[in-house]
Amino acid sequence: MGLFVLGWRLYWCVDIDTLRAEKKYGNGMLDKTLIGKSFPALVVDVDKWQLKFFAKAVGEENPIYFDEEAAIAEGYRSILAPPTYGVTLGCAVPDPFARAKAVGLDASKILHTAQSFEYFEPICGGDKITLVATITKVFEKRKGAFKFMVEETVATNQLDQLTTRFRQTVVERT
Amino acid sequence: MNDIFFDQIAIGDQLPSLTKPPITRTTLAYFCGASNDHNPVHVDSDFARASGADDVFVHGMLNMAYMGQLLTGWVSPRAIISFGVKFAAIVYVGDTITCQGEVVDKADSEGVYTLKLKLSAVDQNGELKLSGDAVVKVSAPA
Repeated sequence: MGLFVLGWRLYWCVDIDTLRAEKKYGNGMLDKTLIGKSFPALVVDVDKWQLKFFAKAVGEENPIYFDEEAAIAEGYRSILAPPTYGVTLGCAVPDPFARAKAVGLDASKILHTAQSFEYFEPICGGDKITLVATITKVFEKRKGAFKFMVEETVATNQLDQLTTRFRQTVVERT
Repeated sequence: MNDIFFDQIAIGDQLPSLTKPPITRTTLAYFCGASNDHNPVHVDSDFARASGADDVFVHGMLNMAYMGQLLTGWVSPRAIISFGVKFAAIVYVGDTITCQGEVVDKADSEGVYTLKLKLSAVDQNGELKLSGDAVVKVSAPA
């Protein structure tokens, strides 16, 4: 019994979002009270090694993405993050699905259905980016067969400049 | 760096298409690590099958990264104002993705010259995998 209580308390501490989702919304209901809620800011250092690895992973040939001299010659502070990199920064957390789980989506069945970005200042290696995500929509289609969540993330750099704002739509597949 | 001039572009013009090598499991392993998307459904066949999929499938963001390369191969990265896609169908290991773009609108607002692009990515059979759009800045008429 003691072990059970200890385990339960640990579970509560470690994965409160999942527990909340399972306990209150385990019947497939979505928690629409989270619409408009912003989550604690995530501060991420833009790692040059990871930018180079990303460039390799996507077969990038433009040296501004992996060669610092080439990037500086083009007027960037350091190697440039590619246009979709904001999502990668936003995933730099232990559980990128924590918000989806809190809303009541089954993380093992989530598909990414849409993604869009608006661009302001470039993101470069060595930057420190602060990301604030807000759940903007939670809705169902076809009488609950498809459950959607939309979130919007604002990313600012160490100079307090807006770098990108991006919107992500995910759906729980059946 | 941006050498595309507003007056030299017509609605209906096509961007040079971009065909990427066939996507392998190695591609997915690299992208898993590089993108911070560690969802096992993209790299672990056992997990993917247990979750009801036929096999691992490609990260949507990998295909969007390819589409980004189509754009930054045509204009400077700084020239992109907005870029969005819808993931129309799942992409599987072995698929070869070709990204395409077309100019669908031109606008001149207070000296800022922009083009609206319609984007699509198809596999080796021509099946639509991604659709999207982007707005990019170009140089003033020469």
